[in-house]
Amino acid sequence: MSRPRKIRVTINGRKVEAAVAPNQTLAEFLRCHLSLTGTKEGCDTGDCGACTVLLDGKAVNSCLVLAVETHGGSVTTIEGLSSDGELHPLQQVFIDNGTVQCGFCTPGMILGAKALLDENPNPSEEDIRLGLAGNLCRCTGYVNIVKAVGAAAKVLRGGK
Amino acid sequence: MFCGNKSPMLGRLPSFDYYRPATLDETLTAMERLNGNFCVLAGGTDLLVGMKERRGRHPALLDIKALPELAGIRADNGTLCLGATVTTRAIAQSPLVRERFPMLFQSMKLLGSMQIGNRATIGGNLANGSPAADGAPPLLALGASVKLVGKTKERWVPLDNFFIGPKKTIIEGELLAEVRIPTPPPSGRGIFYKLGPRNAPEDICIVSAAVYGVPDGGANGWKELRIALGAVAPTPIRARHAEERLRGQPLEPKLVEEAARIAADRDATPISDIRGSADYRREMVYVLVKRALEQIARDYPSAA
Repeated sequence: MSRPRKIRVTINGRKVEAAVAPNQTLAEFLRCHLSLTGTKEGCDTGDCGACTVLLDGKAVNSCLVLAVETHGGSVTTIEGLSSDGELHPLQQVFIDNGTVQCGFCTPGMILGAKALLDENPNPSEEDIRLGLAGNLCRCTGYVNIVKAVGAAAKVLRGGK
Repeated sequence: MFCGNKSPMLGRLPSFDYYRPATLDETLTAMERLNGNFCVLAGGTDLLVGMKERRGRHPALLDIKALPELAGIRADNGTLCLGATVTTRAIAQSPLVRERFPMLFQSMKLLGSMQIGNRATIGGNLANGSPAADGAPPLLALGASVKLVGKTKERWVPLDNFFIGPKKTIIEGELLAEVRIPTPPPSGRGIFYKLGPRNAPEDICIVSAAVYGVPDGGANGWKELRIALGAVAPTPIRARHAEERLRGQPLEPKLVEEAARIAADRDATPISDIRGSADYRREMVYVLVKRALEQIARDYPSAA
């Protein structure tokens, strides 16, 4: 029972082939197999959003996705956001706005925000708050986070 | 490295075998072969949490997300057809649902966070059999049916007859393949209220209520008036006693209050748990049903 399954999945643009046990979650696979420890595990039950990654462009809790389920798919983690050493605008505004306190929620928060802005480039404050309802910050630094996402939206729209 | 057995958070899922059939036929064959020793995996947002918390143990998971037969939202001759593996967020984002089934739209929007809604499916929401399933009250009030497919036969079951107890449904070795909802007439009006622990689309509800009405076109009545409740009985329920009290009568304030009281005292049979006490739930049934009926009456002053 529970024999390993071979999967092929694109992680941050790189094709990965691996044999995974069916009971390995995507979060475990990313952290343990690929050493992509930017993805954090908080609650492990889909409540806190710290493990948020993009699966085929959609934000998901990687603690509630099996690694085998991603076969044939594409995953983006926090490590995959910057390109050629340049931070993604979301990462830069998160720094500029002092959003990082303990930092544990930050990777998931940024990926949740990316999914939100990909769908809605011009969100209201309420849109941002509702969109990020699945990402908890236990330092409760929400004010700066919401501000940062609004600022990132502006940058991504080309300063308009 | 923070992994393996060193982290208490990791490796919490017990072992199981995993199957991902490509067609409905393959799925049904696998179900027969596994002979009950499996659980269907759709979004996994409840199933995997349950397995991590050792509430449920399954030797095998049968992932049905690759099945083309179970995907997609379509309108078929005035009926809304939702494939079992359509995500709750896809339903909330469907313009068709938003326009014609605002009550369903509302419940799907409030079901969970973006991350949960991107995985959770409508089939899972129902087949899971939770008394607090957000999709259940609006679908009960709208008169939805579900298609259950077995190896040799398939059947359509009205949602009214689908739930039989906490975490128990009428499914017997079958696969829930589709949900169908008759399109309401243009005059139909639905209201869905969800009371959760905080003002965010994240939590499991304490109480939810759906009220759906179709005015009879005359001065004082309703052709249809259905009330459905979540998280206040062993299953999602219709508030039949309250509906009976309202039958054929205008929604006058005194009657609305009386019907809401009947829904709370006779139809609801809540328990106390971590989310709320039985007394509080009853009181909230009264409040939500009254508020929804008042809203419907305001929308149709001629029928009120």
